[in-house]
Amino acid sequence: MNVAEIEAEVVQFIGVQLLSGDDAGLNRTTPLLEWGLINSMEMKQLVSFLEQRFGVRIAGQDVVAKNFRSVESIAELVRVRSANTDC
Amino acid sequence: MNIRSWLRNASERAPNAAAIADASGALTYRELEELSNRFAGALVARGIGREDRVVIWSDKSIEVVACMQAVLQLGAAYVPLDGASPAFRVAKISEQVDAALVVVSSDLAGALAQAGLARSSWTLPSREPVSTRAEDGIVVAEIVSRDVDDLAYILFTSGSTGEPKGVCTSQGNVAAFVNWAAEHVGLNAQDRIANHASFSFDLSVFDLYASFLIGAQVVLVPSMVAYVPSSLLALLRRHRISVLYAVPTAYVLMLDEGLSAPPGLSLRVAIFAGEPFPLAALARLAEALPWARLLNFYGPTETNVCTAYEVTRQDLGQPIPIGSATCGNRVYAVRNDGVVAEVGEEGELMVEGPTVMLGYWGQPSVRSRPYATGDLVRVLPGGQFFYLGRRDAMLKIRGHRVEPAEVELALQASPRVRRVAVVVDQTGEVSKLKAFVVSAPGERLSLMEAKRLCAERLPKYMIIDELQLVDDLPRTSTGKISRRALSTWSDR
Repeated sequence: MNVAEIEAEVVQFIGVQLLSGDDAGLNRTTPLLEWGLINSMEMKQLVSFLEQRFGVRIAGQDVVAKNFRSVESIAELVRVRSANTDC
Repeated sequence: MNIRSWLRNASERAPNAAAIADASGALTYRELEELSNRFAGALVARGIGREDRVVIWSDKSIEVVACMQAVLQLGAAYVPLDGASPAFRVAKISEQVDAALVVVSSDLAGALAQAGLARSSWTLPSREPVSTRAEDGIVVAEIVSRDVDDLAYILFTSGSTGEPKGVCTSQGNVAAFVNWAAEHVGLNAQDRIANHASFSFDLSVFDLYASFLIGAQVVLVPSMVAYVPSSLLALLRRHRISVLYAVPTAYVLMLDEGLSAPPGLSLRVAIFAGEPFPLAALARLAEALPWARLLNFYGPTETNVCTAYEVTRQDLGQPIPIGSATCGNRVYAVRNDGVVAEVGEEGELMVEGPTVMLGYWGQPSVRSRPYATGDLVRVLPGGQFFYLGRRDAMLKIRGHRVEPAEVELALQASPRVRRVAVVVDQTGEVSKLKAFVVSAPGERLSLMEAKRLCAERLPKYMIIDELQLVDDLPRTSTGKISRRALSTWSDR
């Protein structure tokens, strides 16, 4: 799966699951943390989604602002983590 | 006096003891003291002195704490603003307090420049260079002596006119609270205290200053870790945290995430404040931490903690009081007719004493008058009080007071919004800030847009969680928006 496909799925998940479909204008660069789109409850759901959908392990130290700033940075995190778990 | 002396004294008593840790490292008392002295030198080089106000805009870090200590050392006062605060708000508050300097972390320096702030700024050095060089070659060791009524810091809270209000806290206010708290909690130098709250929230005052007073270690919880209950639990285990002070929501979320699962926590004192603890969850917490003391603190930013209650195992299952007066304060309730309430009666909680703030920034001092909290309580036997709710329109969400008008004003900036009312939805164990919006004809506001509108003007805790579009808002017989009716709409 390439980065663009990961981004598309994450945008869809955030739009449908976290914003209840009320997501007009959500895209890969929307500032998720700055606009308060992701809080404690949402973060938990998002991390389980990423782990299940993409088969990666997101550790506690991955949950930092720079990895969750936007869909773009989340997809990058997924890409890096899936590259690490090949073996 | 100067509350800055606590860190100095601890560094002289036990220079090699662990003082502070954050996500990227840890310092001993000697190292934190030296860093504070170097930062004091850097501030002097930028013209900071007695009575100045210094705004600090950054995510929490060891450097921010050292900078706060450096500001106090020079007899100045600091104004802490979260890294998540919008630049617009930082600029507004910096003007409001006539800041002599705005200190900013390197990741926010660009945003500060863009905000067009007409004040001098200083970018906090990152960790590596700091350990190897003195800032500008100047180190200042002197601690300027202060009076009990001198300003120590200003914390901003929500204001009804849409303007944030600065709560001015004195050196004496901090000393009265911290001395009481350290003794009441029974802190010792072996304690490891987690700092969960942000520095702009008064809960953090206990974490930092009680640690320094006693010579214990404070562990800063990054804001992202504070959001994610599994990460927070991992941090509590990794650092063997013995004392945690946080809003009930943080405990509730950790309970759902396996707080009771092995390996057990080292928590010996769990302190909460800011909102009523959901009863079922409190019973679960008591069961998960059978050896821990459970302390319920109460107090607005204006008085810090003014009542406290120790939860006993016999209390579980019934609503718990906010307790009795602390810190040498006199606390009582006044009925609607102005008469002091007797046992069994209801009234507004009033506080007089050493932790009552100097006043709001830019307004006359209120030290000579009792502080009216705006909170309604029932008077219980034995000088105890039970919290009933607000007497005004102010909302309480996860420990923060929010003026609905301030949030409503931010949402009304959109032409899509015709009318709006903001309430707290308390149907779940975790409260949510919810906006009811009547759209302009042919328009439709999205939740995302609503959150963006809030984020541009307000601190993070004032960003709405939910949005419900409605055809009209319920009115009272006098034509005002009926918040009571709206809160039942939330139940649906």
